[in-house]
Amino acid sequence: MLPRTIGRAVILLAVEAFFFILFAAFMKTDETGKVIAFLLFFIGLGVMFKKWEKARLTLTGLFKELKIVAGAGFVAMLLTLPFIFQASPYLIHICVMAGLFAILALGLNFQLGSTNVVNFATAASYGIGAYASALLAVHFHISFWLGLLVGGSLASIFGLLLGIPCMKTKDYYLSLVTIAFGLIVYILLNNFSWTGGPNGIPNIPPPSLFGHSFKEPLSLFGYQLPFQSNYYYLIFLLVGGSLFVAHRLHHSRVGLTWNAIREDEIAARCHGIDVTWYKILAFCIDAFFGGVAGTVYSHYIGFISPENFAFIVSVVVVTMVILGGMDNVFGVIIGAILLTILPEKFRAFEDFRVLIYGLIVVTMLMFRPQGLFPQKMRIYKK
Amino acid sequence: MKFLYRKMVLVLFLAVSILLITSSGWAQSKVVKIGFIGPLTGPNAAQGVGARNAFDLAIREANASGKYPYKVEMVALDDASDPATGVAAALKLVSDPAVVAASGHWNSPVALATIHIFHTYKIPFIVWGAIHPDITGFYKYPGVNRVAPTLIQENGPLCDWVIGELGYKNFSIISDTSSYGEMNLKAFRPMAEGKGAKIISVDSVTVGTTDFRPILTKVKGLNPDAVYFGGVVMEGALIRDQMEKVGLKKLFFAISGIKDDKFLEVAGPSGEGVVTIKPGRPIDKLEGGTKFVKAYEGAGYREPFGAYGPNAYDSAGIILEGVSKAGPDDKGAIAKYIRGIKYKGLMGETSFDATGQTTNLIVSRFVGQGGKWITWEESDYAKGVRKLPQ
Amino acid sequence: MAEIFQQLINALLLGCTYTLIAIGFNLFFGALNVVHFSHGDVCILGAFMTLILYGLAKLLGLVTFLPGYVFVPLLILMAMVLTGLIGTFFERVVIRPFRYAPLLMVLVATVALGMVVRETVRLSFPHGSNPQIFPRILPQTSFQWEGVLIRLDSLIIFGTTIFLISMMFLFIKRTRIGAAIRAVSQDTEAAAMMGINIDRTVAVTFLIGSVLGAIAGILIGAYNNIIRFDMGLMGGVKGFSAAVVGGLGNVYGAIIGGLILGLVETFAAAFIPGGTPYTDVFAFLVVIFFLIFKPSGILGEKVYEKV
Repeated sequence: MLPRTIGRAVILLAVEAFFFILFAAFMKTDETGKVIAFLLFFIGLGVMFKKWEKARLTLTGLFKELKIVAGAGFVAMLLTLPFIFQASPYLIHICVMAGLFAILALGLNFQLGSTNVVNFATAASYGIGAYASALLAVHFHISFWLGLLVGGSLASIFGLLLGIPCMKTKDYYLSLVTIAFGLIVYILLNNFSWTGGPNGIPNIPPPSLFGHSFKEPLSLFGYQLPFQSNYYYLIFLLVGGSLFVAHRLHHSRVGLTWNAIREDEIAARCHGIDVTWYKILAFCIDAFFGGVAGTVYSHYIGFISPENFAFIVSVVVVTMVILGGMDNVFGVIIGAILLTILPEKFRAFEDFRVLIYGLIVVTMLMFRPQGLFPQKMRIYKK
Repeated sequence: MKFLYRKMVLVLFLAVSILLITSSGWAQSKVVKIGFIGPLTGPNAAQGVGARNAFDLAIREANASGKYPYKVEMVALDDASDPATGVAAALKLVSDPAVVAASGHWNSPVALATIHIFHTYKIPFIVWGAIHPDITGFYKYPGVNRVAPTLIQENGPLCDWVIGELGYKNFSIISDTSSYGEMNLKAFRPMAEGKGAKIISVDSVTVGTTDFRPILTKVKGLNPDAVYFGGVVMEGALIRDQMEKVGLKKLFFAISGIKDDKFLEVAGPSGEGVVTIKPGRPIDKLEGGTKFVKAYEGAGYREPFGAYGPNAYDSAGIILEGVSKAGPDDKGAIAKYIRGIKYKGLMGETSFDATGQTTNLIVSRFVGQGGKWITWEESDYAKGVRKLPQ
Repeated sequence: MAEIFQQLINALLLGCTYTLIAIGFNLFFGALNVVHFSHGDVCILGAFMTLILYGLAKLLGLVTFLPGYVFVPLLILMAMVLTGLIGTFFERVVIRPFRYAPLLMVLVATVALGMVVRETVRLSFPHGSNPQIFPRILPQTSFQWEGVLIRLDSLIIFGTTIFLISMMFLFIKRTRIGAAIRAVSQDTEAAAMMGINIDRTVAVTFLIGSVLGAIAGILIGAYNNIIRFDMGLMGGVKGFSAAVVGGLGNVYGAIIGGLILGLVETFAAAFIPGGTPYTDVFAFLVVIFFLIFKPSGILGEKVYEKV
């Protein structure tokens, strides 16, 4: 039995490695023509996978059987990414940004995906986290690690405030409140003098860990990696943590309750669910994720200004959740990664970016509201 | 049969993927590249695209001159006036080993976010448009220089002119809440007060506002001599127009942010008698200006080179001279050479002080007259034929 | 005193534009229980449509044929009708498919639709990110009255708004289609059982709302002589806010809500020291205040949820 399992594991890892190399090659491509060739190839792959049932079943069976091997292999490969992109801080930067947006999208997913509460204020909690930790670090020399907690918690408190109107209102009214909140935060950040106004906050110190400053290149196994790799590994951990939290929440009573509210609010209320409380909880958790992402961003770039937290950022995150698949934590992450990498690959078409986001949302909602990767039905074993 | 078909698909799939992998950027060839970043899309695209074209022109001329043993290439990237996009663009440039130097940015917040990257990766960088004082004055990075005067260096001569020569004393300040507007407010207020002027009111307006009547009605009640505006074209033109509409017939003046033909187009008849200054000399009064205009037209760019074309053109010139003198391999030497340069270019002689700020500080005065910006010395106003509002 | 009157005029005119946008929101909400988040963009599209038609006419050389006083109203009328049709088309394509879907879908879809409209406008004009100059179609003369400066264009805008609102009320009260609209907004199912063609009634509602919105957009353009692609975002949020403050679904509420927002913004800018950059903040705080303490708005009725 054992040799067979090893054999299967080798096949599995080979398949994973193959796709990983494809992905790395795709990241390294720069010309629009080749990028399109890659994309067509990926789409073709998806279609083939869908049509060719035997291959699909074999592969999915393989993954299901050797879940741990698959996961470990995947993690190991992602960990080698900075080595592959060693010569290009730019590519690592894209990966870091993809990770940040993945955290934002995971946070929003609790609301938009699980509870069907539309929140257009993601940029606000992102900004509050970023500004809180940046101000603390610049004025009071509070370390990044503490700032991470403070930024998240403060954003969470604002999430609570934002959630208060939802005691009385819902649906359209609530989304109006979130839009207004996002705009208010933007205006205030832009006008208060202690936030640096439109000039933002410069010179935010980088975090350091065991005496190693994140601004310094990372030396690993005799390789000199660009300083972005520090953040890459940090983000890797954070996304992993968020993913874990999101996954556990989804499978807990809380996730189930959120889904109940999504399906029918009145019925949920009739079953004794405190709808308001659970909605506010969703607001708080979302804001916490946003705050954490914001903190990392501010220390990573070293400079923040209100433009980083404009309304469009919220819309982008909404687009990521809808594209990836509402309520599906893995889908949402893929949505975030896709919508971070593709705009960089199609820089020549930067002008059309927002238009394309809008079209993606409208068409997805009309023709595939469940997203690219729909959430599976909950199945409970006896 | 079906089995064979599947096998073929599989083989094809593998072949295509290997092709894709090998053809991707795993291998790179060596050329000398110079980066350009600016707002190529978005609200400031006109400035960015014009500057990019002028930059490109300088590089094309360098290649055509045959003085360079290698081919110089421009890598133009868009920052969309957004700091996050700008940072990605800057990282893209420093990731390319062939890029030896770069020039960038019209928006100060973007420049403030990216100069650290160029500093960290030791890429010589010249700012062609952003005018926040801190970019050079605060950070003093050895590799970062700027060919544009800061807004403090613009407000000084404007103050001298309007207060000292034209004799206006009581001002209302309206500035926008952008970085540009706020810095203007900070620079202008003490300067004007130091010269004996009185500031009656200060108001900030959000960029994108279109109805300024409430503020202007209030300002009208305070009866100032003149309105100073710290901001750019659109809000400026609307405020100027609405000043007439609420009956506030006073002098309107601002630094170069409003000196654009669009301002007079939007302001319409109310653009008459607006005064402003602009760094450098008008293009037709520059040595080599006509040659530049001719070359620009000859190169077939669709967009006009705009207000910052000469800046970008000289930035490219300075970088090219640095690269040719210090060699394309040693970026530190290029940066050192640029800091000590005495460059005779389109805008006159440019050199940099210890902070990297240009020492070329000529400004020209302009007044709106008959729907055109006329240099003050040649205008009807200076001759006394027309009169500025009192 | 004169200054306060002057500011009141400023507030009134701002309120007029908000009211015209808010009426659309109320009509749609009444008819379909739906908030058309891209309505603000449709309104601003009205102004851009005028610009496009003007450009076309100039291209075809029609400008010289007709005298200005015939040509300009004709142009505006065409822009209104076209924008109205586009609004109706949006209802058909983007809103109707979600009639029985969760509310979230139509909400997000219309926000995204607004984005599509904005970006399309931006990309189809040269330097579309910058404001476009809107021709000065209204007379620019003014006169003094008791120290208050009154401009003719302000009077025209105010008069147009009053006229349009009264016409709409007459239409809704006196005509058969108006009766159908009222019936549908009271109880859609009952109206359907009475033989009212729901789809057609809804389409007419969107036509009226979008035409009124187009006029709002054109008036905004004529008032400021400028129009920018993203004005629809703020315009829509403010229009919706006005509708909420007045009472969503109540057409009279739009007038009250619009005026309240206009007053708050103008007086915040004029009388709160250093308040000018925060005008939008004050406006939104008023809205949030209403949502917390009187979610049904001033004239709205309390809605009870039915199972």
